[in-house]
Amino acid sequence: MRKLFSSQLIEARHEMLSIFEAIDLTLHDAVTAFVTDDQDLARRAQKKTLKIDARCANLEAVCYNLIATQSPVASDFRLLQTIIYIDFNMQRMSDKVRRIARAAKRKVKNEIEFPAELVELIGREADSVYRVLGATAGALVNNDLAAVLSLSDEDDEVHGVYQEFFRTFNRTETMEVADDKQMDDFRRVIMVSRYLDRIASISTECAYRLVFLLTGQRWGADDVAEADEEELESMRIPSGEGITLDPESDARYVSHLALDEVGEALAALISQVDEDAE
Amino acid sequence: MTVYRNAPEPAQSAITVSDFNFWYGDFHALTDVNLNIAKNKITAFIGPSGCGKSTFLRCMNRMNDLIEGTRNEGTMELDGANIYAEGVDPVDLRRRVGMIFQQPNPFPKSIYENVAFGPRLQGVTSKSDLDDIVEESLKRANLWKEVSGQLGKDGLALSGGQQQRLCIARVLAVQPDVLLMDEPCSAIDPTSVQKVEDLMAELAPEMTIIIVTHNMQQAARISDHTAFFLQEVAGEPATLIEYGETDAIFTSPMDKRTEDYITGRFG
Amino acid sequence: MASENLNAAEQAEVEQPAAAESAAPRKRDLALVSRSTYMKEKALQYLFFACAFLAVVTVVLIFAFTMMQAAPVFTDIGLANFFSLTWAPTEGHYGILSLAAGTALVTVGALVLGVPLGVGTAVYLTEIASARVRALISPAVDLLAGIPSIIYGFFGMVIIRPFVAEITGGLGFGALTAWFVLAIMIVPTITTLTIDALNSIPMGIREASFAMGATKWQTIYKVVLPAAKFGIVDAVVLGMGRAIGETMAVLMVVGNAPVIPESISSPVSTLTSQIALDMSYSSGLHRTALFGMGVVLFIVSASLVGVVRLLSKMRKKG
Repeated sequence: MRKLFSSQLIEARHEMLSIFEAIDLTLHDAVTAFVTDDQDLARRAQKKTLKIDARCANLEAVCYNLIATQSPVASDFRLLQTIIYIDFNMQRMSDKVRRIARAAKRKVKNEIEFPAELVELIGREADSVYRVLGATAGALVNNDLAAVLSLSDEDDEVHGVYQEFFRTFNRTETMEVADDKQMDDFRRVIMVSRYLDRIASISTECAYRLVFLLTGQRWGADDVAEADEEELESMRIPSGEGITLDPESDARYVSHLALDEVGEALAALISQVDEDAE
Repeated sequence: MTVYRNAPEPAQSAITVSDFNFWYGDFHALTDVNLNIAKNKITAFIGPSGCGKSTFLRCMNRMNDLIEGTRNEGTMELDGANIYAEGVDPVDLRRRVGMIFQQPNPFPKSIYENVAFGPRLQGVTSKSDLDDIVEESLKRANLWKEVSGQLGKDGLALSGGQQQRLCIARVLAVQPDVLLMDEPCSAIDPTSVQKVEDLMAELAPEMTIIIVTHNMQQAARISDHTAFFLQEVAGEPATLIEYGETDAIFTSPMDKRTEDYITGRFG
Repeated sequence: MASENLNAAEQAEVEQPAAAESAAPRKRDLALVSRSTYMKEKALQYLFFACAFLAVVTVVLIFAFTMMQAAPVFTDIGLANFFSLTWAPTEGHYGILSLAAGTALVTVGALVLGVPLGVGTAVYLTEIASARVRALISPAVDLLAGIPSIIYGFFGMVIIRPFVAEITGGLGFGALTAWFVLAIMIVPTITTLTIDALNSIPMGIREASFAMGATKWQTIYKVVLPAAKFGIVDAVVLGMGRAIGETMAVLMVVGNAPVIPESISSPVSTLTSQIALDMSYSSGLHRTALFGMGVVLFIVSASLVGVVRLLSKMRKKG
């Protein structure tokens, strides 16, 4: 019975990572569509988020099923709790990606030049969000508590760009708004910027849950921010088969992430995976 | 070395055990057990078969004295008094520390006589007193409703689950301070298991209960503290690996062996 | 709960499994019982039945034979004579009442002495003795059972009779001596059966009793013995049967005076000893009367067997 259960746990874990990768890739598509006015790409991205939502709902059901039928305890139970939490947050992220895609779809090319600065800032913000997502994936795959700590810095970077976006926007707002459509576009740009910021925050929250998974302690963002690496490492408790400790096989499920966005450790693993695949 | 997770202090404990070792003849069965059983709470002993948890349980009411060739070292105190001290009467100890066994073992007498057995031993003779005690005990054991009209029925004619509750009523009739339960639910049907767990929860605030169980979920459900025993190498004595609050032990065990056992990876 | 496949969401369509060409199932005949097996089974059945039936036949034949031989009791002796107190065959008195009284007296005394001894030994061996002591006493009890009754009679005659004579000041032949001898003879029967009864009580209820703070004595007296009561009564009844039917040993010590005794140490006679004494030389009505006594003994044994069977039925119900 336990062998089956162990493999089900690992399968659930891999599915979670795979959905995470799908969100990252779809976000790339949505942002690209927004920045390059590619309505087709936007539509495809929107469809992909629907598929992601279905996968999330399924994963949630599978996890609850496992809890009801297998009476998990200790690390198995913590893993299922973590997967369900991250799954829920992935649905939130998927929702944000869909909204970005929708905004991209509806954005109308205007005669008046859309401020290039704003578009460029969106691009920059997106890049930092990709790095947050990549770092999260890295932390999850490698069970890396140190990476969790550094995530708050990456998240701060996103906030920084977001704030810069608003400052820039304020300056450009003094421009005359030609018509309603341009107003809509402006509004969309603001919202996209907001969505990107939210995606980064949600991803960070997912990463923080790793602390619970590996130490059994429920720490909030503030507690994690104040902790140091040694302290966290000393709080680690034994892990069972679902949690450990097979980053090589986990990496396979996030192998489509861009190498420069994930941390060093994960990049190395992904390269390894690609090599083995050839 | 034992890992403690918010284990009870001696001041809040009914039974305190220090440096306890136990031998069956030449075989060293248990080594260096140190723990305190919280008063008026439920404590669970878990561990694979042969890990000494039943042996340890039976030390607490000196039932192991009845087996030839057993001996122990270390102290075991009930409310501060060493139960293995020179001159202590084990018979009296067993009135204060009652025991329920894995196989229900009611006497081949009527239900009434089963429950009245203990009080009669203690010298209660008045019929009305005995009637009251019998009714009270059967009510506490969640059995009164089912048998109130048939107290003359033979105890052995009841179902397995009812027999076990009869045994519990029998023990409750002497009003022990501590109740030791050695896998009380393994031989009875699931509905009766539910009833026994319910009655344990009702008894707990007035009585210290210790239960040995193989059922992880049961231990997690009903106990306040859990002790995990393990005999790692055959032929070596068993030890107490981890002990403390049940919640902590079952959500985030600190010893790998505990983690592996409760998730079912061995045992 | 149906287990959800992680890939379910990705499947666009559910594929219908291609209908397999259903081949007609191959027919395989079931093997029939072969005639020779059938015959063998039946033959064995009849063979064992015959063996068992033999027992029934034997009992019936013996009873019939005895009854036939004893029939004249009704016709030629008369029940009034047969059940009178005077046994004087030479004078035509065939009253067996004094002999029956003798049997009863001897049996009761044997039980009074033998039952406590037997049950006590059994209790000691099962509940109290350590393994070492048990290894010493248990074989001794078994050996007692194996001693031929004539040796007991010999022992009675040579050792016990003079002893009784000492303390009562008579010859020493009589009920008292028979009591001692018979008591020792029925102890093995009672002890082994009581041990069986005590051992069949699960260890659990003793543990339960101890765990409630009962002492060893309280456990034996209040829990174990009451639980074993059917078995113990069984043992006593069978011991009684043994005592009633004992011939040789009793014959050698009982004094053989077919009268109601004056005291426990004056000679008396029993049904069995009287038959053994007279059978070789008796004839005519005397012999008929002896067969009549045999029928009486037969009926008494049969009733004891009936009681034992009734007890085990009651035990199963209760």
